[in-house]
Amino acid sequence: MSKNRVRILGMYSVKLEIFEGPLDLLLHLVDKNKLDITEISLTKICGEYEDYLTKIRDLNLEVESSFITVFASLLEIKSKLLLPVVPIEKEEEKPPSEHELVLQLKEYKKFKELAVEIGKKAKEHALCHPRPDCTRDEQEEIIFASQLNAQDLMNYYVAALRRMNRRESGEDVMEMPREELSFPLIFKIIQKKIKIRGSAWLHELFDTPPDRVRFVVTFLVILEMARRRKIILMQNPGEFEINIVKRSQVRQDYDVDLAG
Amino acid sequence: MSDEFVAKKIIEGILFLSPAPLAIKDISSMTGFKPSLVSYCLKELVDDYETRGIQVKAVAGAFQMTTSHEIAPYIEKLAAFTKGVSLSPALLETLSIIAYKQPVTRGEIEKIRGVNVDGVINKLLDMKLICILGRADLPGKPVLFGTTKDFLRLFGLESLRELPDPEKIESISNESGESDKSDTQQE
Repeated sequence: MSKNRVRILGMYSVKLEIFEGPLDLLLHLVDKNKLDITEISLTKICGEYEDYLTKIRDLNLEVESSFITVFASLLEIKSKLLLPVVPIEKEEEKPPSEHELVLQLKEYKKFKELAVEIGKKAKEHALCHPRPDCTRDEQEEIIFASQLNAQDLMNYYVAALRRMNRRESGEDVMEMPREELSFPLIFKIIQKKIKIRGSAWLHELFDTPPDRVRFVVTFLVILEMARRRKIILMQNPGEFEINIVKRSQVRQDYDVDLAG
Repeated sequence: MSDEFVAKKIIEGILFLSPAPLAIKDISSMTGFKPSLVSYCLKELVDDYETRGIQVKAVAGAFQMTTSHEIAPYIEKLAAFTKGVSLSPALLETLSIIAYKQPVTRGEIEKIRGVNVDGVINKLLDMKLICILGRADLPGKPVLFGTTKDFLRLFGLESLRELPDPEKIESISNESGESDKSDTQQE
């Protein structure tokens, strides 16, 4: 319920219980004194509550003020009970309604108990173990089939950029506001593209005509994905375009030596 | 052999092999059985396994075969399992208030707990255990919070009706006069 914190005050240390809030403290005091939550019992712990208040003087103002607000309510209850009640005729049968603080504390207590209950549920559920996933490989993204080696990739990169240059110089280039490109964004786009079919051509990932920055970023992301063993890069003999294949798709569609 | 008997066998096998929880409609589309038959068989299986070391458990509307929690200390010697998330008392209290009183505003939660809950709410939102259901028609249009499916999954509940001690909280829900809680359930 509450943590103990040791504070150093001058020459000696004071062990001070830290409560979630004024209601937590109040509830603790009620439980400690084995009382029920009623107006009368609350007045009994008024003194102890005040003791605690003096201890938290140096906590932040907001916390302290919330404790003081509740203390004010306590004093209000106490003063009401101390004042003599002038009996009013006829209306005596009506039971006096409880102070708001009493109701609030009761409700708080209820939820505190419920919190413990659902906490137990979570603990219990965490102990129910499902079967480990045996329908997939132990490590899903384990294989990097370097169908394309580093030299191939570099050749592709240089050639693609050269093609782009040729295209750009052939027409008037209009300046467009540059879109924000980020690794995670491109990563998501690629994953989305290959999710359904299991593979995609590299050029499909670009806008047409490809923007140079986008091309570079996408290329970097693809290298990263390959490094993380999420995809395999393949190139058909004699073809320029690179095929990006989702790792899990490889076994079904391609007869690839995955160890390569 | 009756249809139910065969269906039950098939569904049992599917549950056994599936690493993820399966909803009735998943099993139905997999097998071609009517959802009512699937539901019937699942109920039977839940009962069949009740006293066993393996149980068929319904969590957030999906069914899964798991080991029963009583035997956890023994099977945990077999393999390392991830421990569940541990939630602080502040998180649990706030979560239980939201679970029982949803849709609920920040102000209502703070009134019950008597402390500021901004930090706790943000943490719960981050953990995706609660979500914003909408805005209350009150001054300032305060945001309304409710629990998510992840909440049910974390606590191993089939639905909000499975929350502990519903009779205990009767007075609470009457007070705020809210409608059926399950309607507000959102992903």
